[in-house]
Amino acid sequence: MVKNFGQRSVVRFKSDVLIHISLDEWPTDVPLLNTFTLHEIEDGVIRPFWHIFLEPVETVEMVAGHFQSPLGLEEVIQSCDEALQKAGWNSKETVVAQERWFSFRYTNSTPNKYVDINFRRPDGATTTKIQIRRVIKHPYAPPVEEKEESVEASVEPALEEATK
Amino acid sequence: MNVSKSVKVNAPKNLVVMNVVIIALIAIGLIYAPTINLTSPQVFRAASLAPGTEGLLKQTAAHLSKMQGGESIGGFPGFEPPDDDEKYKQKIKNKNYSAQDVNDWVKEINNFLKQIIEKNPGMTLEEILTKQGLTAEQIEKFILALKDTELMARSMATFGVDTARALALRELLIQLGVTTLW
Repeated sequence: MVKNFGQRSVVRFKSDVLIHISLDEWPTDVPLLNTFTLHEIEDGVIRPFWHIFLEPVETVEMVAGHFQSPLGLEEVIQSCDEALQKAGWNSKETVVAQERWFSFRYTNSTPNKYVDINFRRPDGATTTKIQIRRVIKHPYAPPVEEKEESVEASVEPALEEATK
Repeated sequence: MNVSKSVKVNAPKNLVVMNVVIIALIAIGLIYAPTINLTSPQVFRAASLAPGTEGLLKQTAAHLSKMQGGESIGGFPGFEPPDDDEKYKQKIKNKNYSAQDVNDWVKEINNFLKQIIEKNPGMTLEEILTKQGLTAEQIEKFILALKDTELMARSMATFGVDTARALALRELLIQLGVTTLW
């Protein structure tokens, strides 16, 4: 549950809004390993965020986070896979599988919902970098405006009656 | 001998014939030119990328490589930090760059992508990279690196990465047919 409204940074792009969340607000259906810490950059740590896109026929909700782990690449991938499978993400598609770069997409029985997870450990790096995005797409149908004639038609008989 | 006289008589006639041939050739050219012009842009696009595109792709890949720990992107050479700058090397390897770094790199990437689009109108990035000769795997990695960079730029907006610049990158990716940013 998102908490502490008004005490977080909000970034507005075009028809989308990015709201930073704290680690304890991370979705519970996407488990994080105990060895994960937030990806640290020169300016601080990159906090996870909730990003909402208002698209013509859908609202896309994405929660994303950048993490790092001291574990080796293969160990992190294996451990994450086990944790995600245990959490019900039982279908996995490999997007990229190269020497030091792996990307996978996990889905479950819920339609329009998936988790993308990228693992990187460049040659010489001291940590494995993990980027996780959980995406949910909510169908959207714009409300239909009522026609003016139907409003007038319903008013006319009443007016006629009143003026007799 | 009347050679000189016969040459004098025939010279103007030859000139007339030559002029008629030239005019006929021009007329034929004008008749077929519209047909040629209509098909040639499509033929041109299908045949090759605009001059300079490869260089721009290489530059884009180099900047993406900075965001990806120095890895080779799309088969282009990875970014090599200077040997004598250990701090910068570790910064690149461990992706501990600053918001200012990302600001600068995204600015350059946007610049290169704009030029690629201008030079190859109507082509998606996948088409451009295919024409460049990248394998399917290399294309996937190139596009993923761009999407990753865009996401990183968004994520670091609160650290000072220019929101307009991050949005511009997103718009360029959409123009290039990289439509899913989530």
